[in-house]
Amino acid sequence: MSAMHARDDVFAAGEPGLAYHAPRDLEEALALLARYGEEAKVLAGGQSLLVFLSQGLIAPAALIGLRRVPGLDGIEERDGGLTIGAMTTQHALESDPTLRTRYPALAEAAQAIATPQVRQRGTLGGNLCHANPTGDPPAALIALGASIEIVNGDGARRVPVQEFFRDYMEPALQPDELLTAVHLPPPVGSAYLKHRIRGVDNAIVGVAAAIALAPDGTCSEARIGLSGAATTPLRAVAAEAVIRGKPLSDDTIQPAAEAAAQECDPLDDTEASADYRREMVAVFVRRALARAAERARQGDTE
Amino acid sequence: MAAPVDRVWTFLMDVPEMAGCIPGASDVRQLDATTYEAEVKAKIGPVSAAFGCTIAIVALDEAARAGVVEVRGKDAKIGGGVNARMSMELREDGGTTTVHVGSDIDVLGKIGQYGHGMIAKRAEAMLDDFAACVRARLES
Ligand SMILES: Cc1cc2nc3c(=O)[nH]c(=O)nc-3n(C[C@H](O)[C@H](O)[C@H](O)COP(=O)(O)OP(=O)(O)OC[C@H]3O[C@@H](n4cnc5c(N)ncnc54)[C@H](O)[C@@H]3O)c2cc1C
Repeated sequence: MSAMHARDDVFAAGEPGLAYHAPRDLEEALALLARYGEEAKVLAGGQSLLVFLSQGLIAPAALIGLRRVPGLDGIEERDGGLTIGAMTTQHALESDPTLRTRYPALAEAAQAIATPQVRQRGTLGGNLCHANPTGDPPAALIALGASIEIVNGDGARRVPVQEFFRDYMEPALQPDELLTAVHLPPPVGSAYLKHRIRGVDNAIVGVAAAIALAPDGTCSEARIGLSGAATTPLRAVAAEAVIRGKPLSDDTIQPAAEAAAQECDPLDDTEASADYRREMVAVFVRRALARAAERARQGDTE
Repeated sequence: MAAPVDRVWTFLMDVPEMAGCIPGASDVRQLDATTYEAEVKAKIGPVSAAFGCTIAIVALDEAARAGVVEVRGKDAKIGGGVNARMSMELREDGGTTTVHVGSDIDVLGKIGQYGHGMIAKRAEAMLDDFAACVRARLES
């Protein structure tokens, strides 16, 4: 049904000479990608791709739909962590009980995307490959310590998610490669907070934090992912270093928030100025750390 | 840059030479004494644009080593363009030259909607690359 929808949308966009392929397995998909090279675009949920296509910003010769490729959809527990298929919809993420309880940062990031209609069709893989620096899931996955599985004709490899975002809307993918899955390590306390003006907007800034606590209550591990804070989703390594190994209190969280504001380099645009974004990074890092820490403590007493 | 002001001025006024330092520029042609045409390619994320540009020297003060250049670029395929007005002033100080550049860049049409902040950022980066290239050519 959704494959038909995506297809109809393409033709409604009125692109003459645009070929559409619906490969039946991964091998066929990779062969098509190898054949077309830069001339083809992978079609997942179409929520970003079809906008670019209908606005004439891109003009591929072919679309390669992934809906019929088996094995790319679903959430599976593996090695104490989780493997999420690239074609898993954003709606599936926000409503998955395991994600909501054990990886709330990702469920909250998915829920923060646009409208229910967009989330019904939009996929996790498509969101990551779109690599918008103001997207929500990238920040959450950075905080959760996710890795990305990439497949080409020679096999599969994994990269840490923050290395996947090479430049503005440029994922670290070759034209003949597919993102097939996202792997999450065992869970820690996490949260994602999004600052925006209207409900359906992209983030002015978004902050995800993940915290693990040592038995004595000090922060044994901290990761912070930022949206809207640079030309790519950003990992706030300096801020993380401020709290790692320390007890979590206002005395450590405030300096960490300031460090994050220092290390980011936001864009100045019509949505918000770079200065405003920087200020909001500090505010939301503080809140996200506090919430993640609270969840880490609750997790301990379970 | 570590080069005498005359040398820098001569280079910048030789538009085909100078255009060799503009990232993505090719096919420079002179239309008349003060106007040139060039193609400038730029890519931001998945979007590639090819701007057909006219470059006009609209003010020139040889004695003061100052000038104003207007660039109008249009991408026919996507729809939209970039207009830029750049003023330059060269100052010499003991064999080295400082180039003061003022720029005013407007992004028009569909291209502008795609990501105004990112386009401005990329334009700045192109200006930095241009400066680095000019330096590399003249500081020998
Ligand atoms: C109105 C609106 C508001 C939105 N607001 C937000 C928001 O607030 N926050 C947010 O995060 N997102 C937002 N989005 C984007 C949304 O999350 C998209 O669903 C997402 O960016 C793209 O996912 P998709 O599955 O639709 O991918 P598509 O649009 O089909 O593809 C996007 C890109 O990724 C490539 N691609 C897709 N899957 C793969 C794969 N498996 N391997 C390799 N390449 C692949 C495609 O070729 C294309 O270049 C919004 C979208 C709309 C339309």
